[in-house]
Amino acid sequence: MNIAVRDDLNDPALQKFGVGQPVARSEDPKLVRGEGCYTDDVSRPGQVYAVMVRSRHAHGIIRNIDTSAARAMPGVLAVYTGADLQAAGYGTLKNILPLKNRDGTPMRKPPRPALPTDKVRCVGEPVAAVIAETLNQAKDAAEAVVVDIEPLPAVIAMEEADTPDAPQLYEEAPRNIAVDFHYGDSEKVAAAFAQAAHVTRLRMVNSRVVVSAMEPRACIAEYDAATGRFTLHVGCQGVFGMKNQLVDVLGVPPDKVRVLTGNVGGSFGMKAAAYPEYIPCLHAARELGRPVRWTADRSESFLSDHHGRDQVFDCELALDKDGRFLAWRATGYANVGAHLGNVAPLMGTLNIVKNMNSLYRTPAIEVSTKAVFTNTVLVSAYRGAGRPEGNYFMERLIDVAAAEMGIDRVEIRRRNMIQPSEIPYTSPSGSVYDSGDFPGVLDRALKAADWDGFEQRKKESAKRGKLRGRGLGCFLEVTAPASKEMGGIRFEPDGTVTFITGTLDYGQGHATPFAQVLVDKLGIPLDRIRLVQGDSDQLLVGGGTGGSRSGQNSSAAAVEAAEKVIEKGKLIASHLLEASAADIEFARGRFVISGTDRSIGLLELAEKLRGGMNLPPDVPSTLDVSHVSEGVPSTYPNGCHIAEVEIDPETGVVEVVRYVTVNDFGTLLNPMLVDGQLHGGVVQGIGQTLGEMTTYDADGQLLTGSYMDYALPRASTVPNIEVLYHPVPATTNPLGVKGCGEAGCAGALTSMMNAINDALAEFGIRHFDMPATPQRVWQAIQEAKRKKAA
Amino acid sequence: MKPAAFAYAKARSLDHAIELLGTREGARVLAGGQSLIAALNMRLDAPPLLVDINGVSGLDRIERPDGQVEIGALVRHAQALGSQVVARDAPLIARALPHIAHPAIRNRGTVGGSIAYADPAAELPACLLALAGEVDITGPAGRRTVKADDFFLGLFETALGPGEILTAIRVPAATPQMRCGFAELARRHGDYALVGLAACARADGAGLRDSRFVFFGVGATPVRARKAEAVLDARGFDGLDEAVAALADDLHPEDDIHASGKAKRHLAGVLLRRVVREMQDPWA
Ligand SMILES: Cc1cc2nc3c(=O)[nH]c(=O)nc-3n(C[C@H](O)[C@H](O)[C@H](O)COP(=O)(O)OP(=O)(O)OC[C@H]3O[C@@H](n4cnc5c(N)ncnc54)[C@H](O)[C@@H]3O)c2cc1C
Repeated sequence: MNIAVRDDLNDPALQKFGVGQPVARSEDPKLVRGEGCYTDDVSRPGQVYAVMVRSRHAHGIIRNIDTSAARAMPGVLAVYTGADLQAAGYGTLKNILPLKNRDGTPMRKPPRPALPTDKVRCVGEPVAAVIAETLNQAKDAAEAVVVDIEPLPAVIAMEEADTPDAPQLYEEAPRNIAVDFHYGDSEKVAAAFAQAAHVTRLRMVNSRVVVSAMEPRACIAEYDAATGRFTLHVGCQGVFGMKNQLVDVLGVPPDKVRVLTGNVGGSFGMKAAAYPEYIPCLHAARELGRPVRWTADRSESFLSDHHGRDQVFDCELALDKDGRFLAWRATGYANVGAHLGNVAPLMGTLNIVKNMNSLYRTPAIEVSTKAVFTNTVLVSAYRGAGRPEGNYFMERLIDVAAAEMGIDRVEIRRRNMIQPSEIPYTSPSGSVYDSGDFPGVLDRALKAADWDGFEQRKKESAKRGKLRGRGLGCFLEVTAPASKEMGGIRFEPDGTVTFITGTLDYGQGHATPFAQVLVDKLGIPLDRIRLVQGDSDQLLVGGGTGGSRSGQNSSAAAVEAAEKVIEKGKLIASHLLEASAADIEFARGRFVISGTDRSIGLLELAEKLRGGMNLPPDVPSTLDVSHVSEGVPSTYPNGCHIAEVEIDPETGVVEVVRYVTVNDFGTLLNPMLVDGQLHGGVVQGIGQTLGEMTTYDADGQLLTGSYMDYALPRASTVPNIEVLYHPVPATTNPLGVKGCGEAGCAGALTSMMNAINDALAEFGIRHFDMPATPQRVWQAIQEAKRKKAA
Repeated sequence: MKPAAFAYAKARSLDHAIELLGTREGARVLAGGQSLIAALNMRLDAPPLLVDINGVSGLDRIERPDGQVEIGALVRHAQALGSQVVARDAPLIARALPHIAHPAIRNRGTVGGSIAYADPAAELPACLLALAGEVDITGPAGRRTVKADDFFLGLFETALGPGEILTAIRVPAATPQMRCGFAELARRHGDYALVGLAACARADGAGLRDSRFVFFGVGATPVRARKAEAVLDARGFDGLDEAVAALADDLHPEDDIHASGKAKRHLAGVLLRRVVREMQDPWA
């Protein structure tokens, strides 16, 4: 960690707690003592339990669901099926992406009721909900629900789904295509390819992952008959967005739904959606007049939490004779699974368009994606949501192109990198990169990783019978576009100050960095500041957390709200201090009459207001503000990761032995937390590339349905990760912040796979797809040897 | 709670446990619960009665009868791992124990449970077989002792009959001539093995005698590589290549989602080379 040097830090409070300081997270003591309050920790009087009955078939027609035996079991209060929800008149779960097919027609969005009535489309799809007095009673009764399904053949692989004879999931989606997406000027791209000196073509898989949040999904639904109001306690990524999704499904006015979220134990994009399970729970709460709770067990998480990634692309790069990029083309598939999730297939379409170009100068690009339905768990956003995929495709292409053209892989990157002098730079997808020093980042990474000392290390590894490889992973991500965000500041009776914003911390530690912004701007002591984020009743708007938007948007909203507080405070202080408002200055938490020693502190002023002040009508009577920020534009976090791996050629076991990452996240609100984000992202990237292999059999059964078979990385899998910064502040938001939450994955997939491929190049392997499990690596080596021998 | 409902009884003594097991058909012994409770939680199994033997005294001892090491059924993996006697006199078991799962599971899981459960990818059954150990069993018909060679019958299937309890295992204590070796490949440290090898032999001049090479994770039970053993006994270390080739006859692993049968056989060969090299020169 390196800490930005600030010249305005002569104030001891700022030195310790201002923006840029490594302040420990305020919630940590509570969380590590087990005193957090996650959804399942909430307990409501009179609560009852829901258990889902899930499909065991990947594809089939629902002939009948017999709930009579279950309903007669002890403690059972109700069993609901899709027919019950339909009769109650609820709407369907929506996809919010306004995508079009290449012919201009809209994306096919088959209606998706919370519980299906016609067909099941993947193993694990809920078909009924059992409600009982106790969890055990509900579980036992769930086993007694008889679901009569007439099995249909299933389709699992994306390319197979797009064939005329493939089993079709929806009548309205021939060849299972949800959207046939196209972006780019085909003629221009074709022309660039026609005049290229060299073209590199590579088919690449970005493999499917099970998200594996530490806290399983859970909800508690309540209904107040007197007011006709639903309340849902649920882990999500933003209560405002969740509320709107529920309002839509329930078909009630917005003020009839309240969403409450406490601590959330990880989400990575996955918990952002309104999931089917929440609807029967809300329905039951209304029907039964009692709070209804549901918590997924881990086996259910595997089968019902949206999975991530799962794309396959044919990528092509056109280069001139000096290795300069002329154009790239990506043509492939994105799996959406059994239904369209909330933001699917953003990852394999728009986010490939925006992110694959990365930090290189490429004049022409083209993306064609078929997003296909398959009889698998839904695929939606997962840490980066298309950004790591796009960056990965580009960086692998570059390594292969460099090898084919005999150009050094560092040199080819340098030749194509956008130079600081070219910024602001408009990318072919229309993004305007406002800041960055890409070559500077690369240089620092090469130095920190001792790139030039590699040959020595490789020799040393060879002595121990190990292959050694190194991989570069440059990345640039386009974070979420501008959207409104709340910055509320409230001065509480107990002397604390509440900051209200609609992003949501699901493990990142928002409370501390946002408080640091207020320490900086308002001089309020850190320990007086509280964060409110998890109550939809307190939000005017709220964009939620996603696309690495929280730091940039909530900090901007905080800065703008703080300015409003100061403006109001000046008017009030001028009245109190009997001076003209124009003569009042605000500094370090105090309103001062310029040139005098007469002043009043901000919190003192708040106290006086609470005590009651006689103020003229044109002076505000409160310091509280409910500010709505318009939001800030996308930022362009970028960096360079360098991984080194050792491979045991006899067993295929891959070990990560060195890992360095240099990043430009602009201004760091709190470098300690950014380090943590990086570590987590890199570990997930290592997990995806080494061990996490989601496997379905031909019938659509998930074979890797527990952590015995689905190999998440463990502490021993992960090397020491060196995290360095090369910050160039963003120019498009008040503090110069760039998103950092997803960047770890964006760099890690690329550096890891490039390193593994570098090591395997010895056998003449041109490209090896993730994940690099021992079996797959060993197999690849055997095949390469066989080919050589033949 | 996650499992289907079951009755529970805590045994006061070995006799009481056997009596309780006789009260319900399908009643099961509960030891450390690290395998049994997981199966129940996933509702893969629903025994009507669990007989908890954790309160039975005398089953958690590590003893050193003449020329042997005896480990009580209720000895936890962690306890065995910390034992001087095991480290000194049963070094093969000491080598294998750290590969079993993680500290939390090793704190509860028992040696007897591992042997009785007989997971084909587990470490201890292979060690018991490699050491030509034996198993003490008490049941409604009294006590008996079964040789390791006769104990592991099939997939999760052992010589334990209904209502019988495994009370201890015994292995010969190490001698200066004894060589042992252990290696395994797992997805991650602590996972069940993809392929593992527990080996034991007597050093005889430059070669090995009476060797027992037991692979695990490659079949329904731990598997002795008898042909490879014969080659090594006959030709010594010079026969290593031939022994590796002989594994083609000894082992018939099937494909699973982590590795093909072919890959497993190859890996078995890699392990054989590594283990034999280690036994050849244990101080290298
Ligand atoms: C995540 C995880 C990873 C694991 N990894 C490994 C690993 O790498 N290697 C490995 O070897 N094991 C592993 N285990 C299993 C662990 O070692 C178990 O503890 C062991 O297999 C069973 O021992 P137990 O005492 O827990 O038995 P229990 O779970 O209590 O019982 C298992 C079975 O044996 C029967 N049984 C138990 N004791 C007796 C007895 N004395 N007489 C008759 N029958 C008996 C029970 O009735 C039951 O059928 C792992 C477990 C978990 C949860």
